[in-house]
Amino acid sequence: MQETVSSVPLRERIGQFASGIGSGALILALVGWLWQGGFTPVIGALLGVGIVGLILWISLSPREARALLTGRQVRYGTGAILSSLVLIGFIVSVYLVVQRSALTLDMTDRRDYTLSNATLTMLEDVTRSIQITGFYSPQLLISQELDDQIFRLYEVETEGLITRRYYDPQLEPALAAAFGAEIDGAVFVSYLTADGQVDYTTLVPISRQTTVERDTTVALSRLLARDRFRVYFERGFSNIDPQDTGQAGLTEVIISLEQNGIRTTPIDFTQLIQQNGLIPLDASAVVLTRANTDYPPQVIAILNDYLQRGGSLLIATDVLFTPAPLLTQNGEFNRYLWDNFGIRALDAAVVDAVASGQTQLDVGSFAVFPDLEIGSRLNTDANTVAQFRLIRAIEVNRDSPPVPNGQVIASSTQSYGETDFITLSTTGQTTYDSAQDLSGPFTLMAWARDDVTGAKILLVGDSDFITNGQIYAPYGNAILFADSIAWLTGYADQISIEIDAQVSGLPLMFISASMLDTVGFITQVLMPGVALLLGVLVWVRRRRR
Amino acid sequence: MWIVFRKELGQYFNSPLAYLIMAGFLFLTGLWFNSDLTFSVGTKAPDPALIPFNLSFFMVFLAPVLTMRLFAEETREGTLELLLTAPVRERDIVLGKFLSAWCFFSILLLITLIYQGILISISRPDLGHTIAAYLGIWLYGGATLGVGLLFSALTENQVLAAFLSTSVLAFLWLGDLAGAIVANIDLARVIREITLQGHFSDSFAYGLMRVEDVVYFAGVIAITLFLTMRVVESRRWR
Repeated sequence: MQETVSSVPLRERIGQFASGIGSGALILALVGWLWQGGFTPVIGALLGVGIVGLILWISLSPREARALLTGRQVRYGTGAILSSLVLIGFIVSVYLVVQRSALTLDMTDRRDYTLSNATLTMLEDVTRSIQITGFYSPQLLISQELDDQIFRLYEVETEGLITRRYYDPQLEPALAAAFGAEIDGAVFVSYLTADGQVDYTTLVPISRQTTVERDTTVALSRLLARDRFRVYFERGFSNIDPQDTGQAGLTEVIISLEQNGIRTTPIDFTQLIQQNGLIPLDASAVVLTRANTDYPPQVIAILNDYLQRGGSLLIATDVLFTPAPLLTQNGEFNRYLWDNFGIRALDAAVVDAVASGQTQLDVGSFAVFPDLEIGSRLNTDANTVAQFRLIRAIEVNRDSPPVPNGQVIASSTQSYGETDFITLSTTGQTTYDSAQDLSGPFTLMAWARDDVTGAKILLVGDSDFITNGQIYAPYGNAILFADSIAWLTGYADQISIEIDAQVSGLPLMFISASMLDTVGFITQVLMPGVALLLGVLVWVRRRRR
Repeated sequence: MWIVFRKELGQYFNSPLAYLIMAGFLFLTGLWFNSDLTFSVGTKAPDPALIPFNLSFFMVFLAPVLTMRLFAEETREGTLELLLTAPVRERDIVLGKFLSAWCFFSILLLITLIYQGILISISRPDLGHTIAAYLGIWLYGGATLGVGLLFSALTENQVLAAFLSTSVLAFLWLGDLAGAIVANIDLARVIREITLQGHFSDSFAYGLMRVEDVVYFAGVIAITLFLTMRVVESRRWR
């Protein structure tokens, strides 16, 4: 009899224990299901434990279970624990559901957390799945959450076409390397393939320059512009291999263009001549650089056809010490440019004592002309000066130009054009000969635009400034090339984002020292003093009682 | 509930200690305000969320001070037993005491709006940002007071109650730094998700109101109050 009596509380205790385990497991299963967004084996196991626990509780403590259900003793014992767990589970579930819905209210006056009209317009063009991929270490968790406030607006606005994923670069170094994430906090946008994988050929980094929204929108614009722009690099007549990663190669500018969403493709004019081919219709611009020899009439015909279709050319010629270099002064191609666009190369190497580097043949961008946006970012400081190692002089027909044209950059008034290429090539020395040499200043880069056909040409007297060895030395060279391509392709018009209020900050505050003192007195003496005085009065009143 | 609320609120204002707390609170917030003001002149716009942001740390200490006596003192003096025999429900007792503490905190917070008034008179602060930050710290304060109330109900020793709630609130505040301590980012994210700062420092403090944060603070308040009710009512059947 005694055994029977003592076994009842033990059964109930086991039942209570099982109910605690069971309800805990059920809550975990619910939370896990909401968190994962689906059913997993772990969630199944938790569900199983929960059901078994509750069955045990009902079978071992039937009275308590009945009491819970009838509500008579719900406030006691297991009921209290269970009801607490149920409340916690309910609140956690509501929280997770609300968290997914990403309901936010931007209360800032400047709408810091609301996508601008420029961004909304750009997002209308998103038709494919895009992923924002961020690499943040645990140390940058807060930065990631701050960035995510903006990133998730893109996801909501595109109804899930843009998604976001975050990785720890320390835990997944291989993945970070695949993305080229070299710094903690690096973020990329890219298209997703049909099976939901990142299309690595479309990676565009989000460069951190202004606000998160602006930088993200610029990166997305570059991604969307990806298939719209294609730049061809001529290599049939050129002695530069665009794929050469050495100092003389062009891989740096090619990578830079690709990262900005501009596709690059080599084109061989010798093959076009053989096949009677033309420059493809999708060419946004063609870069002609470091040709061994002047172009034959067939190439000029190909180029003319392209320009008549509204094509764009970046022609980078050189002081080449060969019998017939590209754009020989009296050559056919040079004449073509002069007759049709009013620009041509001169057979003279610019020597500039004022705007030069190590030697007087290292000529910098002494003067920048505001005709185009190309020069607007140059010469703002020492690092944004464009620098050329041996550059040919360019001439611009300003008197009776066949089409609108002009200068982009020029040498100083003290520069002259060395015409003695033999001495220059053998000794590297230059001497001003008033009878032979030309007087400066000289155009170093010229532009021309045919408003009827839409053709654009940029002619620069040096091709080395875009090679791997010189493109970032100084940085002005990279600016000059990037802005040149942007103008030629119209890229800048399509990806530029309006500067809105989010870039500018709140107004500064100016107050007098006496005003500061007054504010200090009110807030640090008067207000606490009044509170203290009231306290003393209360204390005195209580003492009197 | 309103009887308990009025009685407890009256006790705050009839106690010299409450005014001392208020004076210290205003001195400290005034110090923050003046420091930022002096630093901002001619260099930057004043920070609209400065007071709420700094209070988010200060609440780790203020909330236990405001709540430690609410149940612990009554338990020690035996008046809670009397209260429980009165025709009043545990729910009303807990809610009345909590609302009185929250109301006192709200009054402290309202007084700091004088700083915003000063800012408006001399500058053009982002008022929306300010309102969001104040709304956030008001909810944040409610959650910390809920935690403090729970620990006050768990022990009859006021100092112990204050110590325990300070410890828990410090953990909930320090969780904001989980990323710097925990190597696993997923774990750090989960820890940050349950902290008070994780729902204030990168949303309300920046002028952004997220519904999930409102649900979080409301949830913490609801859970702590519910648990406090269970603790108080357990005195009837323990």
